[in-house]
Amino acid sequence: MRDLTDIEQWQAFLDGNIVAFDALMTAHFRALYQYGSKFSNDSEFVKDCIQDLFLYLWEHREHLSQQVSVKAYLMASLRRRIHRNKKGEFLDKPIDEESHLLDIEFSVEDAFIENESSHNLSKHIQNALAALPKRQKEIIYLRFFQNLDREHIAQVMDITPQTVSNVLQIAFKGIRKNWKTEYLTFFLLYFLFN
Amino acid sequence: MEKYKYCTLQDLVWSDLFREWVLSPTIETNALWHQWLSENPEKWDMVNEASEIVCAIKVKEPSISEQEIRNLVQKTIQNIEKEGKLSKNDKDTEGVVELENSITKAVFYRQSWFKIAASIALIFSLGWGAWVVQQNNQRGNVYENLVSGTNAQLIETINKTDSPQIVRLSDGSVVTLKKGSRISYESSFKGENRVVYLSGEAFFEVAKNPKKPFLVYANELVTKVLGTSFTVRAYKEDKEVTVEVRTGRVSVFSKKNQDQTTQTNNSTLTGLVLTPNQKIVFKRDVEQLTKTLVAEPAIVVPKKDSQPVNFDFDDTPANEVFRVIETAYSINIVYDEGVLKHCPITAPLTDQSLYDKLNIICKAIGAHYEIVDGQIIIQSRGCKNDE
Repeated sequence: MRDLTDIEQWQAFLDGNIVAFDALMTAHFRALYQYGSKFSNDSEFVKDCIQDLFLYLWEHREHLSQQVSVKAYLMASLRRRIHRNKKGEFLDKPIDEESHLLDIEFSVEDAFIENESSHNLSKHIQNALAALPKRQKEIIYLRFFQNLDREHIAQVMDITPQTVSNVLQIAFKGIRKNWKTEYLTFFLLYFLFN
Repeated sequence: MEKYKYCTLQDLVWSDLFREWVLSPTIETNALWHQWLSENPEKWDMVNEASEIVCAIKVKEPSISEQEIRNLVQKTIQNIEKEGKLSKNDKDTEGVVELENSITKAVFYRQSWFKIAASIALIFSLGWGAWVVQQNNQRGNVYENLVSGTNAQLIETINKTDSPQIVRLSDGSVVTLKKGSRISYESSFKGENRVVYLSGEAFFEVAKNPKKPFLVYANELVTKVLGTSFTVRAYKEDKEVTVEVRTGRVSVFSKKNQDQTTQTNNSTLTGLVLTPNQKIVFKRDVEQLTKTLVAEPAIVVPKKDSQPVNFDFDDTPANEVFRVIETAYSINIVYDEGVLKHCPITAPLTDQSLYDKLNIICKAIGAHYEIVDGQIIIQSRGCKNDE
């Protein structure tokens, strides 16, 4: 349903409909801002990048594809734009992908938690997520917190869908292993001290 | 669901199906999961725990208000308009209105506010005629006085571009502001009414909310609607204020009147009520309101499944002809039923404007018409055949 709406808006925008453009930008602004903020602490910079992106899209609408996954397309474009603009800032320093600031902070909201063991596991998962390499974090974020599927994540991060699956597998191994280790430690300590 | 064994807690926590159910449950997913739980009752605890975890683990996201998003979108569109990157069609007000209608149908039809707002459509405009400098100085700052006289914190949008600018209000209403016009409004309508102040011209598409009337203050006039769409034209150089209605109902009263009564607090429409194709002229110097008809009355859009109105008459009594016209344009026509039923009309009138129709009919039956108080009065002494 959502995709249909997106694509309708998208195509109306490609036809030069400013109202559709308005709706499109309004609908996606928050998700783009959230995602963009993972690459820069400078919120004004992120907002500028999003506005530039939409200005660019409007100017080049005649050359854009009719059939796109709108959210993934916008996120991919924003990601490239932010990286490009940041490169511009530090022209003298070569910047590789991994050295980009990617800051995804996971939190546990206790308001949702009633029992102790969920709390512990949540904390463990939080720590495990925090310990993941950037790339794995980003995939987890797009997958579970921006609800993109494998193909769309591949598009956003400019990698193959197979890579997404592989990295996701590795990330899960990390999360589970971490949990098991800590879980074991926890029980060991528990038995030792009781 | 059989293939989902969900052996461990984390199987559940990272399962799409499970997350979807926990974060945005539907009747279908509820049924699915309760079915699964009834087959695997030992998993209850695990499911409870997993759902707590799914809800609890969040990503820290920067906050940004709806208002700020709206402002940034608005700014981007202003940039587009400033650089003249809108196509020619978009610059035409009519075009934008049409566009607005078609796109809202195509795109916003799933949004509940639009479903409601779309149920009534009405266009009315406030227009000013020529205005003298002296009066301009006296009255030109009515808008400023209104805006500064309110306690509410207002946001002002001024369209400094050459093309219409779209302003989205927090209640879901959309305003298309014409060039050189300005509008002030609350970021969120907290009071009993949704109040906006206008200087210049704008097309409003108001989200319907009978509990919160929408009020447009434009110089000495207050226009009140419960939910509808309309154009307000208000340039301060002009001598008159006119309000034009195409479909729907609005109520218009003067600011002076309103100060004395509590008309705006009442959700029933009071003041001078305008129905489709009626127009109000407010003469600012003498503060006089006159009701008349718009220059080009339009056929009130029939319901989706009904037939387009047929105006091709063949030996039809004039009173029936007028009844058809009355319904189609939603304009009251006053005539003597007894006199006109003996006046048959044969004419193809489908492609004629309302006034052409009236002229042809009146010529045929030797009558003439007048527009009084927003109604059409037919004066006829009966047909020659009867005499």
